[in-house]
Amino acid sequence: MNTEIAEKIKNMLVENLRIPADELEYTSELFGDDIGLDSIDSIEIIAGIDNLFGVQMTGAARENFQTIETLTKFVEEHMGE
Amino acid sequence: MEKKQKDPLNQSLWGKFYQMVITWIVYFLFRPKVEWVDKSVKKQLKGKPAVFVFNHTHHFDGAFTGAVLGRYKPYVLVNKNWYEKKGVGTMIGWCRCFPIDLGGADASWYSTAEEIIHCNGSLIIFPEGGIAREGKIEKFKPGAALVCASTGACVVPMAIYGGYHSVFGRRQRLLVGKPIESNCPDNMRHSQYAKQLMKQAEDETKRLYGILEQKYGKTDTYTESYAPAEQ
Repeated sequence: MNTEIAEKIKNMLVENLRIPADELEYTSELFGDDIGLDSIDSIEIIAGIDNLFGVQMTGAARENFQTIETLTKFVEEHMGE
Repeated sequence: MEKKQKDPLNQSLWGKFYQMVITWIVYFLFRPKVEWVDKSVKKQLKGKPAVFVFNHTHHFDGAFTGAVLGRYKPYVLVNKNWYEKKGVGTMIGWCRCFPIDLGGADASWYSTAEEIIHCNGSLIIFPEGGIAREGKIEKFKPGAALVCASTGACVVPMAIYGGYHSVFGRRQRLLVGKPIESNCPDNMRHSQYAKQLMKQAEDETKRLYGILEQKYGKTDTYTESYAPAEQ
């Protein structure tokens, strides 16, 4: 996992979604019991990823949104497309 | 030959002319009457970023609201299915509209909406997500207020009333409510604040519709009545 990308995603989540930084790990379940985001929040995540990396996540499968790790993997795979 | 991509934020000259023609048609056919809970809002909204939300009664609502609120040059959020249809979609694309895919996790509309708001533009959104088919005003989806929560743009609830009776029938009416200012607390998620905003807007839209219903009578649009109970 590219930690530079992961850290940028984490900072984006902390700033845009107002998730406390100390509660957010790379493996925290974003939509589960850990953080508790919902579908409305996924809109901000998609927009944030697009702004940071130019990677389109619209229509991406749900499992890509689960953790910072999965988001990072998605960005790595699709960057430069 | 590659199909030319529509650019919702750059309306062509032809698009501006077409939209003007649509406005004339709307005024001729439906003789719209816009009423204001507070008339000072009319001037206040000019040049101020705002999201106008309405009850969705008919397929004409987009053209109607775009026409009567033309002074604010609002952009209308349109279902992607309509936006990409052959023929009708082309005409919709000429107007100040941009698409949303209600079937998937679509955030492209959000980026466009943010861009419009940052340029002090305004948006027209029908938060029910479709025309009311259950005889009542449906729950307003909170996504519509997300852009308000994140940018601070106000939400302006409005009620559409009338059945689009042409020329000599009942006038089509719009009652504009007071703007609901958006001030998301620092410790609150935008999505949570958006839900609060949209609930407020939904309640206010129902109240506004009730005012029109009380004043002008019940229509066939809804089986449920929103007029305040007589005391």
